[in-house]
Amino acid sequence: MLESILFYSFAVLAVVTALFVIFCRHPVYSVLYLLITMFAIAAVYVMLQAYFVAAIQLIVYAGAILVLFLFVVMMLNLDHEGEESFRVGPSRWFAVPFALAFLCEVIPIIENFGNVQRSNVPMLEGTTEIVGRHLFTRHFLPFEIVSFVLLAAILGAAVLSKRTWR
Amino acid sequence: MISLTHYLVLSAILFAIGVVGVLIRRNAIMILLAVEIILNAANLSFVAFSRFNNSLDGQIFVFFIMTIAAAEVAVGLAILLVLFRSKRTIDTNQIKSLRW
Repeated sequence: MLESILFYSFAVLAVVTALFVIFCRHPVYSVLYLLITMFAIAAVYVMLQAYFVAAIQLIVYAGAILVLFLFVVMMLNLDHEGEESFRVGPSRWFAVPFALAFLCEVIPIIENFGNVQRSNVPMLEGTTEIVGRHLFTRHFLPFEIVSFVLLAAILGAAVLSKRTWR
Repeated sequence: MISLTHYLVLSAILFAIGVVGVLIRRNAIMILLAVEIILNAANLSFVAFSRFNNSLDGQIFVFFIMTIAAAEVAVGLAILLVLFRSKRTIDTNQIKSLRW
């Protein structure tokens, strides 16, 4: 019962703040609402016993990525945006019916997964120790490759922001 | 009892919201924010499947997706800054040099 209450409150919080992110006129408010969405999703991760992923969600998304967004929004200082922050033309009017059609299509498929029951094997909890052991044994090669991706991202961001494009 | 379906429906709703955001916003920063919502929806279904299949591989996937998302945001925002510096706008309706 408590689990249901917690799940529904966090799910509603995530969906409502995600809608605010989409429909807010000013980018700063959108970024701040996205922060709340990230917190709600992290709470859902905790309910799924993925503690390491929840912590990473808070540290990386809420701590790093959204601060980066906030810096860029404040640096660009788009005051003149005002009324016309939404697209004009067909994509504006077809977006919501398209999304509703997508949901109507997908939710019956999801319903088929409902009969998947939790197995009787004791649950693997996603604590840092267990996830780390998996990460450094079975998935060690992707872990090393992803460090190269991060290095490439650092170099790309540095090169892009340093050169003067004239 | 909260079943797998609940988590997947939440994930699908967040995904649809993200798609709507990509389609209706003109500001390029807002499009990147909506892409973040889409990535989070995918992460949520990964974690849900990982929990209900009693396997940790989904959570490892989420770790990698978050790393790639961080790299994508760093490069994407740098591109937006360069774009703003040269065109004085990040409105996707006014950036037409690659459009036919």
